[in-house]
Amino acid sequence: MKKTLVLCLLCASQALGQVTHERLLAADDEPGSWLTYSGNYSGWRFSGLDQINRGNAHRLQLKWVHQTRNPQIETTPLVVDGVMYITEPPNDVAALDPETGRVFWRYRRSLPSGVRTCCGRVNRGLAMFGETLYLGTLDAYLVALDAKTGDVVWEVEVADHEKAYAITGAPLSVKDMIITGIAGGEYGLRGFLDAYDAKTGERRWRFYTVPGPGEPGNDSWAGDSWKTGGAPTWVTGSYDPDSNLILWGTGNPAPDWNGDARAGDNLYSDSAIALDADTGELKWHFQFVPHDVHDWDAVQVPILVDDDFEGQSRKLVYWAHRGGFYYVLDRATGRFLFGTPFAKQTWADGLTERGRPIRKDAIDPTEEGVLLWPGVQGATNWYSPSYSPVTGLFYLTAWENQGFYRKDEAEYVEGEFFLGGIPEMEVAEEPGYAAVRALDPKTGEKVWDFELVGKPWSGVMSTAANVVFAGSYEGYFYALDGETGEELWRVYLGGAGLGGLGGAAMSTAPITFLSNGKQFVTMSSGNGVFTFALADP
Amino acid sequence: MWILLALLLQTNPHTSPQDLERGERLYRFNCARCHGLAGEGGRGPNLADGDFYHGDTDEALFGNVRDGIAGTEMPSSFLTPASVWQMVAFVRSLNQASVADTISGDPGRGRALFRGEGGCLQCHRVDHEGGFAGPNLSTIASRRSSAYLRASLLDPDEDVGQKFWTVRVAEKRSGATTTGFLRNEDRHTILLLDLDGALRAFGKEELSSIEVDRRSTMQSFEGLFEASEVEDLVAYLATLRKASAE
Repeated sequence: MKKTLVLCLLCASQALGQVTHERLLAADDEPGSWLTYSGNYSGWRFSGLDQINRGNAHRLQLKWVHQTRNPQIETTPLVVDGVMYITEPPNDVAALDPETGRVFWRYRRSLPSGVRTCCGRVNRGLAMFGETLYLGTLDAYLVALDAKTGDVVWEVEVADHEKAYAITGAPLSVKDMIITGIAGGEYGLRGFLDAYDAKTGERRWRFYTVPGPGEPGNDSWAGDSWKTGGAPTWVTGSYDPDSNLILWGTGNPAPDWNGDARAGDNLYSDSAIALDADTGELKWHFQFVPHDVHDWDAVQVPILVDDDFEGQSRKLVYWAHRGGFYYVLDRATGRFLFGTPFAKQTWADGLTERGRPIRKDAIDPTEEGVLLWPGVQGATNWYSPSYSPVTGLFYLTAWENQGFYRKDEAEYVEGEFFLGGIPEMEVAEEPGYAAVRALDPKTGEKVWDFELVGKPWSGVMSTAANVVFAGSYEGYFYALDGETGEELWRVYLGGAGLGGLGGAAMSTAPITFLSNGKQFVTMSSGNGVFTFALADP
Repeated sequence: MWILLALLLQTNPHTSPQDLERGERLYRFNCARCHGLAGEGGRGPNLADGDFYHGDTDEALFGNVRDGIAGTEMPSSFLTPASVWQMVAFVRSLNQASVADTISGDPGRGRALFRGEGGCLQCHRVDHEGGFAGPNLSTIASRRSSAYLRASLLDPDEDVGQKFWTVRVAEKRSGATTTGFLRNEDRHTILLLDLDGALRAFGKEELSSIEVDRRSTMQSFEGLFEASEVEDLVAYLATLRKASAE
């Protein structure tokens, strides 16, 4: 009798700890968990939880803080069956008790000295499938860890870190595969997106974001420039199960600010790409900026929404791009439906019927420098946007700023910066401002702005109770009214980033989950992971 | 021993005439705005006089160009190693002979004016004496050229560091106003060093107005002092240097 009871308990725990593809498909049905980077496959960073609402958010108070060895935390935690999994900079993983923040286990990765990252030794999070966690590393490995122990199940080399390939983004679990992108667009590598067998680590497919000879699109690169064309895939994409498409954004062509040697559109840099999840075959692409010479990566999370558009029921993609335009695309075909600026921009006179920017004259970088809006870090960047099906609004952090684009010679040396320019990221005395911004996704019109002093560097999350959680560069964490942008609550968390590019105290996006039936919210700042819940009334 | 030491130190691998030429071009667009076209200095230190206060090995110069210098206005750069070395090679080629930074005044008379009639210590510090309402000048000549200092005396508004923009805030409830120098600001707060030397933090919701004045609080010495007296002041300021790194 006793024996049977013990066995059954074991059975129960086994069943709980499984993240199946079905569970990920139905992530919206279990808002108490946070199962994947953006919360669901559609990239919404939206939670169905509503305990924290506009009337009580002012009662949020600290539950716990978890501190890491180093800044700067960019992780999106996963919360699965009563355990929180985070990555810690530079490349460690910890399993925490979400109620108290206490550590169950930690995986520490030792990194070789040859690791190169353009913009900080950071990591944005994990994927989970079955009872296994998946981590991309700065030395360009994909590592499978046992979620119960942190033990390594397998690891595979995705690419050669000596050539400056690195992984900073969270992988995406789709079916029985783990999808991972690659970082390193500042080093003239050839970008790709990979799928690995979740059980064995065997590579299922690779899609090169820069086509090789004989492949369609290779002729959009002059000469051999495709070999060092960049177009990395460093921010996690989305998945559309109905069409079995993986949607992912690609980064800038290399060298960043000097396009002389790469005449042509430079496909598929700065693009949204849609790949068949089973084969990695390209189904469509939409390039936001053909022949980019301003480093305007399309590394935003694609937001997938089914809704009426101009009187027709459609499958859509919403996208606010680094160059300052907001786009609506048809998800089945990639066709451009609509686009308009969401922030000040001075480089284009609008978009053509096909969505191609109509460039103004004299916007290309020069030795002396060209002053343009947006600045080098863009009107938005990699930090997550959010879509709320309740308000029907698209939320993002925007930056109204300008910068100097300076051109330089570009000579490719393997493993070294291949930039072709020396930009001035911002104009120190005219820094512009950041804003948490709500857009009507059908028109691109601004519904409200919550202005911040200085720069942005953190993402946003919305909830079913019309609360939007967001952060500021210096480390304020906010709860805002999703309909009006009014502040409901704030706390100053502070901290320091890594300095240099980015370098914000707050460099990640919030998540929310249930712990013992109570809604918690987690946000990181500096080298702390902070978790909040409502105080008793 | 010395040979071994020399081998351990990283020397510049990019010193050919072509490297120098490219280094000069890179320098012109990236460095000259502060350090001057011939390295004579300006907003940034003189690079032609052989004094490098943060290390004078090639390796140290390389690190300073690439990573910037903490606690100074020198920013980090986003450059390939080859480009950094080429800029270091060009900086090494600069020398004082190419720099026309003439000082005709008398430093002794300048010191007397500075401490006396000029009233400079009311706002500026030199060593352990003076005020806080202007930049500390104890080692100003290590950071600014004499041409820059002369220009500042004659036209103080030309280049005012953000730390010396004056901010005047008025409180809603009492109507009290405070003037000070901006130390930090975000959506909710503004932090000042007020004119009495107190560090003050204000919640913006408690303020009825915030006015920022980017002009200098110093008046121009043009017309106030004889041209020769201005030169004496410049000559004195040019003596206020850090001890050389050697």
